[in-house]
Amino acid sequence: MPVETTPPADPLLSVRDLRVQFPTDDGLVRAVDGLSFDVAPGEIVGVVGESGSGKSVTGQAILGLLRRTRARVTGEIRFDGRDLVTAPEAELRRLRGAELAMVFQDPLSALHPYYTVGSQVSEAYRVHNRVSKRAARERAVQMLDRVGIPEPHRRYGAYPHEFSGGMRQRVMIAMALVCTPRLLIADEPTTALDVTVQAQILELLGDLRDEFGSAVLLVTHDLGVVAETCDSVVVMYAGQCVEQAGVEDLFARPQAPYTWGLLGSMPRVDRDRRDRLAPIGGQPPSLLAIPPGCAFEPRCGYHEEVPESRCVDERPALVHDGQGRAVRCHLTAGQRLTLRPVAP
Amino acid sequence: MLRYLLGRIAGALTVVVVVSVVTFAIFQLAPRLTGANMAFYYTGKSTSEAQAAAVAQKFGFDKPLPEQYWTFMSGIVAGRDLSDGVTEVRCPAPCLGYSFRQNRPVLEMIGEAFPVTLGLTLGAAVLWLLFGVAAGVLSAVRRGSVFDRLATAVALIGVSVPEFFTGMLLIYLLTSGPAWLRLYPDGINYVPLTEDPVGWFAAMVPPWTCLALLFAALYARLTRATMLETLSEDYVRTAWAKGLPPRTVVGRHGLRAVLPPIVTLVGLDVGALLGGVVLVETLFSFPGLGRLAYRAITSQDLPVIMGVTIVGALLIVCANLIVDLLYGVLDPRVRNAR
Repeated sequence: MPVETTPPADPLLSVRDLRVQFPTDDGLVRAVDGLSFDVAPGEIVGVVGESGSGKSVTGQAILGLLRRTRARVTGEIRFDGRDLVTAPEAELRRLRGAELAMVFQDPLSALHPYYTVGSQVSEAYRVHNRVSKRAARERAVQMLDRVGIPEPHRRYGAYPHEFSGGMRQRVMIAMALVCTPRLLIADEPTTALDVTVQAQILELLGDLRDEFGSAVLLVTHDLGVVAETCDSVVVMYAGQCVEQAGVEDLFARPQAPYTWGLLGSMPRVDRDRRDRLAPIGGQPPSLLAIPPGCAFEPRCGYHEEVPESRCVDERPALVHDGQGRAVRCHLTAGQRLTLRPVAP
Repeated sequence: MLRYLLGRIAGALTVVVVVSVVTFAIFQLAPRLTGANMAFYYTGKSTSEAQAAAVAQKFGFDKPLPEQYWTFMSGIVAGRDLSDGVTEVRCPAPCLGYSFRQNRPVLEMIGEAFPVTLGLTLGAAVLWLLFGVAAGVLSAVRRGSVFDRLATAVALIGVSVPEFFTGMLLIYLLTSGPAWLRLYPDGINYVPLTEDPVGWFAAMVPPWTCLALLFAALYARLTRATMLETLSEDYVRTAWAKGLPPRTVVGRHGLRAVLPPIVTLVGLDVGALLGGVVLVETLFSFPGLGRLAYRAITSQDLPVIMGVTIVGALLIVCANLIVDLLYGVLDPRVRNAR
């Protein structure tokens, strides 16, 4: 397998027109429906969306974890030049854990209850490195220490149930980073944790990115997490990317009506408490029957601004502005500027 | 861990005491209810009234039940002098009773029969674990495949066909079936392991097969179901995400989680079987505990029935205890819980 050398400016991960479909008795569930985005080396990219927007499925598709399910994955996932969708399983297995690693939402169920945390971390190291058990153990202890487990030598032999939620997630992160992967996919890594612990874990992820140079794909439903951690953001709705932007751009100048809705439903201390939160009305569409036009149209307050009911009939394309921003909406740039709810 | 261990052992001892009380009570009460003279159950076949009265006196059947129970239990510790009115015998400790029908201490008979049952049970357990668990794992990994369907069908047959049927079929085919199958032209006869290991093994194979067929089917179903559940667990997904080969994911991460329920069931099944594999032993005429009990029941040899019952109960309690202790070893969460 020849390894292509890519200049550092090229994206590490490049997802193009990714589709993940699950055939069920009720019909075809389109969990991801033509998703495209890039992750540059060392970048932290947030993937935001409501439950069922396809963000977790995207993470699992990148690792090829959906191959054992009935899911149909098409499109292109280029990682360092190699297409992961069509890569043989043996090659994917070499990449998993070594170059691509994953941290899951609930660290209690994601760690094996019958093995010590140390053995689980050193196993992850030994799969990809021909080293002695002792060397792997040393490496695991070193990683446990790095992610902030106190007394790592002693805790090496402890079982997952003997740790707190935050400590367990630290173990998961140590396990994911033990082979210094180039891309870490963190699937709601802080959702199951206390708020104070959340901040610690996010800080740890940021620190580790700086230290190991791993890019991070942070899957979350929490815009607050995105604001704190990410360099750029992909906003997902019904399996599609509706907006992509740098994190400051997104919060300062959101373009898509769905992003406006997300930001409006986010509590903020700097706003007057008498201003009620504005939740987005209605429900996301069923993934069995995504509307032929814009998927967000039924919940969108601006579709009347677009002539000839295009929002109902025609799916808007994801339009890139050439400066790293992309938006999927029929509204014109001028309209978006005037219609956008005023952010404080 | 130590507290867990001591707790379990104390529990097991309590159960043994309760079981001995209940067994004793049942076998004392039943003859009283039917109005038969207790003495006849304890003596040889031809017993005169005078003899019976002497036996009743010797055994203290007129004494209160707690005192009789105490005598019986202290016999286990210290031995007893017993008599059927004609012969006086010394039943040395531990004395579980003396069969005047066969003129032998009960413990000696059990001691002779137990190795047969032990060999039968353990051998069969090895067979059914090997085939049952392997078939279950393969079925789960290749769910919906031809193998899975075939295994399901075979398991269904295995569960539904009673062991006396497969046993008789085996005996017929192997002793007087077609010439190429007639591997045991002289019949399937039990040979003690110490006398002739090869002969022992050869004689054991048919009853092992007969027993294992039934249990392998049950274990295959259990393993398949538990394995399917385990393979959809988050920690198995983590194992895939580490880049482990399928062999390791299924064999190390999957099978490890399937182990506790299987070990539990094996312990209980082996414990129950050790008390006597009545059908198979009777069918193959193997002199094990099951056949001993069966014969004692048909000849109303009360001391033997009682002895086998208590020993059987003791074996089940021991098996339970071992399962509990193994569970502590297998599941770190149980270990720390108490």
